[in-house]
This record gives sequence, C-alpha cells and structure tokens, in this order.
Amino acid sequence: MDTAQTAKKPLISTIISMMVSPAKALKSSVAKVPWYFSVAVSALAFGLFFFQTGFDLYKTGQKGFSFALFSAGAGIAYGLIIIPLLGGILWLIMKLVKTEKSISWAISSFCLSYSGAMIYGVLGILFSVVLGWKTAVAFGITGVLWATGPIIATIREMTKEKSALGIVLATIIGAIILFSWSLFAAL
Amino acid sequence: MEELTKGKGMRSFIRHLCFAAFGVSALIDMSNPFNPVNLIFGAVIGVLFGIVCRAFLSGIVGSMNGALKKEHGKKAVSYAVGKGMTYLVPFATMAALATFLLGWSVPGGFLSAGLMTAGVASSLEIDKLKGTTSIKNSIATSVVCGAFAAVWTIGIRFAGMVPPYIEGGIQLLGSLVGNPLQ
Repeated sequence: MDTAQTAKKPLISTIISMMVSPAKALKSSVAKVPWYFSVAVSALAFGLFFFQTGFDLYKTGQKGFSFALFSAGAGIAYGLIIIPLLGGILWLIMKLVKTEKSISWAISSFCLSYSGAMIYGVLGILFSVVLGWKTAVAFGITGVLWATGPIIATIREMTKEKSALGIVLATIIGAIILFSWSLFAAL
Repeated sequence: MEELTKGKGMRSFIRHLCFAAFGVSALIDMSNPFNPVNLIFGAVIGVLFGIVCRAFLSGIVGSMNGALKKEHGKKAVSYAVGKGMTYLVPFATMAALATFLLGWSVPGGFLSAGLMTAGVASSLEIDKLKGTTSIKNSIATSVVCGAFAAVWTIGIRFAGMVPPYIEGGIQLLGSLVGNPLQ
C-alpha cells in the first residue's frame, strides 16, 4: 500500500511537471516513476485521443459507436506498443552519441512526454460529452503537439544539452505520429 | 555570450522560415494550394508576426532581467529568445506537412503549441545565462506567448479575407496591362 501510494504521488506530480516544466521533471522525478506507469500514461493518452476521433465520427453519423470503442482499443495498443518502441529506437540512436541514460529511463521519459496529451485527452472527452464539441483535432492533435517540447527536453537530457539533435528527432517523431494517426482517421 | 551569438544568422533565418511556414499553412487556399497570392501573403504575414512576437518577448523579458543585460550586454536576452525560438522548427514542419501532404486546414493549433514551447525554451536559455532558475521568466514568456497565440488564432481569420482582394486588384491591373496570372 505504502509503495503504491509513494509511486502514485511522484506519478501525478511528474505528469504535471512534464507538461509545465519537462526539463526539471526529467532531472528530478522521472527516475522515480516505474516504467510501467509511464507506459500506462502514453497508452491512456492515445486511447483517449483515438477514442475522440472515433467518437467524432460516430456523432456525425459516419461510423457506429462500436468504431469509437475499437478506436479506443487501437489507441491503447498504439500507446502500449508503438510509443515505447519509438522510445527504444530513440535510445538506440542516442547510444550512437554516447548517452549514459538507460533504455528504461529513455522509454519512461518518452512515454511520459505524452502527459500533456493525456490531460488534453481527458479535457477533450469532457468537452465532447458535456458540450457536444468535436474534439479530436482541437484537443487530440493539440495534446500530441504538446509532447514535442518534452521530447526535445528528453533528448537534451540524454545528449547533455544538444538542442539541435533534439529538434530534428522531435520533428521526425512528431511527423510519424501525425501521419500514423491520419492513416487511422482515414479508415 | 559567445555561445549565444554563434550561429545567430542561421537561427534568425530558420525562425523567419518557421513563421513563414505558419503563415502559409494558415492562409492557404485549399482549392488552389499553390496560388502565389496566398503563399506570398501568408509568408509575409507570418514573418511580420514573428518579428513582432520576438521583439515583444525580448522586450518584456529584457525589462525583467536588467542585471543580466548589464553583465552580458543589451542583446543577451534577445539572443536567448532567438535561440529558444528554434524550438518552433518541429511545429512549423508538422504544420507544413499537415497542410500540403495531408490537406488539413491548420489555422492556429500548431503555432499556439509551438509558441508556448518556444517561450519555455527561451526562459530556459535565459536561466542558463543567469546560472539560476527563475519562475518569473517562465511565467512571463508563457503569458506573452499565450497572448500572441491568441492574437494569431483570432487575427488569422481576418487576414484570410485579404488575399481575394489582392488577387482581384492584380486582375484589375492585369486587365489594363495584360493579366500576369493567366
């Protein structure tokens, strides 16, 4: 119980810190968060994002509600598999520039970069359900864009302040995620 | 300070390119994506917005960091802000890709997220110069960037009404001397 409560406290504060001040969170809090909690954050973030996409299509009559549920499942799978995989690939690239960070730290940080996307996802669902807004773009895409800053901060932390490399890699990663979501949205 | 001035020309060029990309993405005519009037007008609006935004941000943050300017020179804050604004590159690139490859209409979301990230990055660069962290710089940059993001989101709707008038004016002139758009 104590271990779970201790883990819960840094997770919540780390999620908020990753959104507001990612550089500080990466230096102090991320190492204390178990990797599986971090992966859960990205899974939830993309689950909510993809669900909003399916729900928007359901509200416009283009798809049934079962598609919205399928979308949520696809998003959770994306956040559970693709995002940690991208984090692992990022770590391999960082090994070429001699990073001293472990692969679990890299994957954990990369997944936690989507903390903002998770918060935007929760807000998007609220606005969608309560106010009837279409939120996949306004909240979903915006949330994914917010991850760019923490991703750059993660790469800077792994490379001892090499901003240029962080900017280039964050651009590539952002583009991959946007394109993969657009393929899904076109189904 | 030397580290800040190194590469400032390239950073300035990249920054203008980013804002031009935001402007083009926001003001593009989706029925005719390569309409030169929309492209040029969008690029000009974007670059002008970027110049004003950077000047305002540098001015506000500079006024809060007088001691830093005395130690490192008047332009230290401006260079730090310029360095932070290179963080716009991923957002500008994604905005351009979304517009031209995916056919999305992207009025403000990419620039808003990009400006907020660039603002945080600028405050981090200033903190690096000072050697301490300062919450007031983070708050100031966030507030200024948030305000500019709002101005862009609202203003771009009005800016979008202008290109048809420009095109009409060009066609009118063209009808007098021979139409350059045909």
